[in-house]
Amino acid sequence: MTTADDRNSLEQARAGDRAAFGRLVRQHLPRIHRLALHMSGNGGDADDIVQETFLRAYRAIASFDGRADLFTWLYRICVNVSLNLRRQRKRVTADINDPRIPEPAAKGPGSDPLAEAERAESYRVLARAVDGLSESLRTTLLLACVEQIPYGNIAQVLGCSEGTVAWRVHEARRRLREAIPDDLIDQLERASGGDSGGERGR
Amino acid sequence: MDDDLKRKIAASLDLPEDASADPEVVAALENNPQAHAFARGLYVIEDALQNWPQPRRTAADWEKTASGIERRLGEAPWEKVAKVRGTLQPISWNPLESPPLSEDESLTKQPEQKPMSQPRDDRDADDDLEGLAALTKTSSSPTTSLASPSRPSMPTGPSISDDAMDESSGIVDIQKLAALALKQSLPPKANDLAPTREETAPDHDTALLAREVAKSSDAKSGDKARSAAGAVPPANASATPVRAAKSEPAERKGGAGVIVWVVLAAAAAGGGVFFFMQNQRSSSPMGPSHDQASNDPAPASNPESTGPAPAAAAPSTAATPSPSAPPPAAAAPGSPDPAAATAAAAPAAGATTATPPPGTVEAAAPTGTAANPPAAVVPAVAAPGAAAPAVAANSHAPAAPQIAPVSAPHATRTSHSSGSRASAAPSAPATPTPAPVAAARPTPATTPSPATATSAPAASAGGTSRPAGGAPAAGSSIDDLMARAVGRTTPPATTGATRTGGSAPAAGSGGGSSGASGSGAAATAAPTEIPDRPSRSQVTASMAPLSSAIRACAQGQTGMATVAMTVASDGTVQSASVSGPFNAAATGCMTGVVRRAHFPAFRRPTVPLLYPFSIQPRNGAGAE
Repeated sequence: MTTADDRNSLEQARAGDRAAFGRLVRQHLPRIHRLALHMSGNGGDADDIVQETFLRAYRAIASFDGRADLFTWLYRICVNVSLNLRRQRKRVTADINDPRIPEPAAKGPGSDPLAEAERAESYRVLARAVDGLSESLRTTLLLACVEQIPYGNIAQVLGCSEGTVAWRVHEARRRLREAIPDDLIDQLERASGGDSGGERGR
Repeated sequence: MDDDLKRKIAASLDLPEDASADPEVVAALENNPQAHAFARGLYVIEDALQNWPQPRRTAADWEKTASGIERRLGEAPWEKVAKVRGTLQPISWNPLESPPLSEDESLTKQPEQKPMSQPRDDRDADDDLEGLAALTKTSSSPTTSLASPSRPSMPTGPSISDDAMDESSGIVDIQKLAALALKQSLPPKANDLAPTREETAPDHDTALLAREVAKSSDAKSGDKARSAAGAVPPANASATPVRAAKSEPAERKGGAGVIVWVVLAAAAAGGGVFFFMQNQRSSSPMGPSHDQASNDPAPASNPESTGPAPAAAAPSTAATPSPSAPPPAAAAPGSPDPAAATAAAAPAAGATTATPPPGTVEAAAPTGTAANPPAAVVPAVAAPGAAAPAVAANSHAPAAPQIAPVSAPHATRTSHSSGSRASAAPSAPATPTPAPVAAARPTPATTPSPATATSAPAASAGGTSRPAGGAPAAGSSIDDLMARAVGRTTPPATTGATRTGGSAPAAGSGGGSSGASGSGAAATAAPTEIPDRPSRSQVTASMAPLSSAIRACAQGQTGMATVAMTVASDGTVQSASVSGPFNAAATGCMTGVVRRAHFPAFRRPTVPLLYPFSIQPRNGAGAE
């Protein structure tokens, strides 16, 4: 949603106020970074994508008419930059230190190393399954399930109909389910149920 | 459970809580344990996706990122590139437009496959290789087709390009070719240097040629041709003149000459100095005659016309300036010297391409006619007289056949120009491929001046003896010699002659084409110097400069950062990843640094490398 403050900052940014645009950056940075992280699967790439996204947004801020939400516009740029990078790389190599995989929590009195390892492994499997999806399914799934953007907004971001978005989400879910064996489902259930480290998705 | 039911179950996740589910789904969930397990898995996955933990980032981290973005605002104008990892990468669509995602996976994959397939590049590369094969392929030399009806086809020596060529595709493996060229450039074994039957025993073909030459000598060239023929006994035509030209024993010349010329050919630059020194020395009677002969394509062809013997002698003598002369001479007759053929071809080409001046034509015409008889020899003979004899003498020579095809076309044209070489013409067509190459080469060749042509015969006549050469021909200046030494084709005849004289191996490397390129042998040998993969020291040298940047990336963290990367043959890093006890920001930073590394080129398409960076604490203050 574009709040009144957003609109104000947006107007100022259009007028060339860098500080105003900086405020917009700080406001949308975490969610754009999260999307970039999941799109690229690489921390360094995610940082680059985020920077490129905002730089391009700033250069084209005058063309943003404000009819859509600013974040959908930013998402669109981020998706484009991510896809471009991914295609340029041709082959996506799994980062050994995949930033999507939750790091084990710091040792503490209540920490369970086994559970931490199990949790990390569960998300590693899930990340691999998501990476195995096609671009369209993966992008749509990330926007719908990880970013939890309404289908209508996803349709705006991706430039397709809501029905298409829904179909892609359903198809992506089905394929993910088929890619993850039942025994890992139990493990994933425990992993997602716990809250032992990292911030929650939203 | 079919996919349709699975999809319906997946879609049911989106239904509002108060909405009634699809009866089919409800029934399946109640009665089908598989459907129930599937639905449960879907819920778990959905929950995991929605609660996907994010990496911890402090407010300072976010602020740092935001500040970095603010600093870059307005940094560059709008452009269709994205700066990623410090390098600008083209963005193939407007990021403000809808992402190019298609609903159909097959359609989605299309854009992905574009950069992978790169059909144009591949095709281009193949074309290039095929072109190279056309230049170097000699197996299709007119050996068979040129064989005269009266005589069995002359044995064609193996060609390095044939060995390196994939028979199925006809493409020459350049690396293999280079290796073979290097191998062939090595001095032959003592046994190989022993005189063969062709060298020692009277050669019927040579005799025929000599006789033909004698017959063909007409009013203009007759005198010269006869003098040449007379100088060389028809029986041992090819060998005799050459040996006469040498002052050393034939056996030694054969071996030493090859060695010397191999070395000279491999070191093109050194050759320049060599020739320069030769020229200095050539204040002796030797110099002028060489220059003369080498400068003029006409002479080459003329002597050849005289007969194989004189022809061979002429080029060898002419080609070999002073000291170099002996070796080449020896090589020409005795040792299978492709250079001789090449050299011969060169002049011929020159004469052909450039509308031959009267003198040249005259000289060439008789030559062709004379050389005509031995079909096998035809290709070589046809072109320059010198080449012909050499080939005849060394029918077993491996290199000779290589050049033959190239020179053949020349010969044909030359003969056409002269009009007397009709018989040679058919042989040339047999090798259509090399023809254009040869033609292209000689084109820039100096149009032989009549004066040169005239002097040529003189040289050839006295070809047996170095001093025989008359006054120094045009182009014998130091500049010309230097130009020739570095492979400039300005005086094609010279180039050819020079090659003929000595650098047999050089010629062997590339037939006509190689002959044209002065540094044929060197160029061929160059690729062999490219290592198969970067050495340890090279890797260290390339990675060591990055250590400071890697340390900076660590931002105080310590440990072993192991870099795993794939390096392309051009030395660029294709992919890289860093592992170690560092946070994502540091790892990403390190990966970016490593991707900027550059290594020396190597042969393998890609080479995987592992390189560890040990980042140790320095005096308790930061990482080292």
